[in-house]
Amino acid sequence: MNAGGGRGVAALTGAICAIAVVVYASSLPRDPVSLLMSPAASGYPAAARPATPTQPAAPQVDLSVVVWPRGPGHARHAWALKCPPMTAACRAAMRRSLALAQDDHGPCRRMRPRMPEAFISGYVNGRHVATWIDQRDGCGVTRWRSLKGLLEQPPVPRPSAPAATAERTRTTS
Amino acid sequence: MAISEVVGSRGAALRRIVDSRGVPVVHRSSRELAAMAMVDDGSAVDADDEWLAVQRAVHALLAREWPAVLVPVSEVSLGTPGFADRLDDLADHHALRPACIWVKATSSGALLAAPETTEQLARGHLVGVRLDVAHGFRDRALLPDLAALGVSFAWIDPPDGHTVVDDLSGLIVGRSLVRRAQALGMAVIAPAELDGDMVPPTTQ
Repeated sequence: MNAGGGRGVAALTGAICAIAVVVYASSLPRDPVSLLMSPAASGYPAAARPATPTQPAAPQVDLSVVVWPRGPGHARHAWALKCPPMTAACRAAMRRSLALAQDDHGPCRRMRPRMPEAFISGYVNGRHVATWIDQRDGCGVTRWRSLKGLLEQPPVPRPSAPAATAERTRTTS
Repeated sequence: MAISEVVGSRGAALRRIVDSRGVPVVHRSSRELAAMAMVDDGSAVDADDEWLAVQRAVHALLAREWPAVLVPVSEVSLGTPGFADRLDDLADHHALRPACIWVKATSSGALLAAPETTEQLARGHLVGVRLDVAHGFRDRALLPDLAALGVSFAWIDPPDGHTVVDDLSGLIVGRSLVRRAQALGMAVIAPAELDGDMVPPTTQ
């Protein structure tokens, strides 16, 4: 009798654990990239993460972006991007943080004049990035497209846009 | 502050600079002249770490009475607000004369992403840029912009971490980089194989 009762308790405990695992798994992000890069990957919801009381929270995105729309040697646009507040460019940076973290994809000595290039440096979710992006081959074009929301931010902020989305704007030739 | 000097392989180049100008090279990991050929771009991703390296280099300069010191600096430091002020303060604090600190940026993009910082640095120090032959066409196109910001020396590396430029296209691109930098009045520190067929440097 006792042995049978023990088996019943064990089976009940196992069932509860299984349900708990299923519930926990269903609460996780489905995208493996966000599992790696999201602040929620630490196990805390973003709002519930313990904050250091003495230091303000670091911005989730803190990037310098320089774009040469007509290629290096021509006019360049540069701006800084800090998030929050969350904007489309911020979401693009966070969603494509792995694309940002990629290094150059190999030597590329062919010169195709007036092809857009960009240099992005800073932090996304605490991860350092510093990378060149160009459109000189298929990989570069794919990467550029994946980061389009970040790279094609208007160089001059709209009056109604939050100031933090483009703290510094500079166009030089 | 432009210097017109073309030197050979990195180690020999630096030795020649040391011989002619008494300029030693300090890297945050090596700090020693013997390791100067190993000077490369830092992989630090922490501004505090890089600042410590700068301080260490300056202290080594003072302790050994070197006339100048070279420190690699990445986009992390260049993008940190107040970096140029801190460097100026450090130089003032130790009463270093102008051009005592050679700042070598890890890439052209790092300098162009922080143009105000670059200009401020160039007013009190020698600012240079590390160029990679693998991306020579891009960097060659950017050299005029860099020169306009006050960048005064070009540190040219073989492609992708190799020790020499060993293919024809690399030689062509590398020598083209050297000539463009020279034409803009920059000092050039380049592998020996890029020395050939160079235009003699002009004196300023």
